[in-house]
Amino acid sequence: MKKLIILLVLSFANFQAESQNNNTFTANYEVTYRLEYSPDSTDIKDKSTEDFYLFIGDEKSKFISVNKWVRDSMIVKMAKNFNGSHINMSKRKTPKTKFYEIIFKDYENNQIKVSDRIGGDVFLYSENISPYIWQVNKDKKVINDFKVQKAVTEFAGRKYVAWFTEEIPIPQGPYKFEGLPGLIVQISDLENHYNFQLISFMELKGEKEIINFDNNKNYIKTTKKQLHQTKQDFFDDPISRIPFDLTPQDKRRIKEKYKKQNNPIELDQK
Amino acid sequence: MKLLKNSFLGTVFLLALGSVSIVTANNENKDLEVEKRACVRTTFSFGVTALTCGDTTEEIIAKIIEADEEICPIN
Repeated sequence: MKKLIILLVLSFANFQAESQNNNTFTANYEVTYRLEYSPDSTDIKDKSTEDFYLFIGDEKSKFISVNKWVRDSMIVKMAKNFNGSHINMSKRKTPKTKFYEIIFKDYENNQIKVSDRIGGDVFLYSENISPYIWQVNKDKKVINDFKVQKAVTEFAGRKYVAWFTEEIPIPQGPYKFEGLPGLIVQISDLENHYNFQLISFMELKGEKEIINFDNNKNYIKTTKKQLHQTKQDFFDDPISRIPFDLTPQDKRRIKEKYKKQNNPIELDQK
Repeated sequence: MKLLKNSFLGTVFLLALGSVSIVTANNENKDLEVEKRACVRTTFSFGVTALTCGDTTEEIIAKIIEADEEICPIN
């Protein structure tokens, strides 16, 4: 009986360790990009900025807003310390983000998984990693002390110019971009609605474990096209999903806010 | 059966319910799965107080932060 209990405990410990391994990957590099973008296509001069981390492992990578990353760690801490009573948001300061998307690339399975939050729900879709058709140009210059070379491609309804560096021979970049002979240092669409620029690159000496996707999370599985539609429906009528009375002034403010978010990075949702 | 999916906030108190068995007219047993949900009273930064519901504490807190950001004016 004693042996059986020990065996059961060891099996459980092993199962726990395996579960942990499946939920994380070891990042070798941490890249930070700054995105400058135009959320409103009717007023492209109105620019916003947000910083993103790209964690790169041997077979996996994760792209996430820095503020979302910080906020998610705060949520874990708040949940641990939560005593079950009233939460007062007027006394709390949390980092703001406009990008709830997390982009996780799994090269072993040739898949990109994207999670996104809309109106309190978390959605998840998968797509195959399809190779970009890059045209590498002879133009060269220096950005942030990196010698970079020009390449152009098309993606989801926009034409992009990328500048990559062979000084860092990692075929990765911000958002879903990849497939050049070196790390993408800058990439922007021809209309300059979305412009990512590298602001730091770090080789991680110690092991940094990154949670890929929490399999226990209550994701609503969807497709990219459906997610786009859900988002559009929400942006068209955000008030219908708010179950308490708002003043006419608040309703107007919220509608106006979402009306100005009409310029997604992916125009073509195929 | 998901309860109050697709909304920032909910006003249902359903705590730690398992499954409910219902006997229909045809005498068939149908198990209706009712998810464990808890609700927390929340005061948003623009003054409104409401209940926020979710399956886990982390989910509830994430919803509160997101709703506060989406609904409240710049804070």
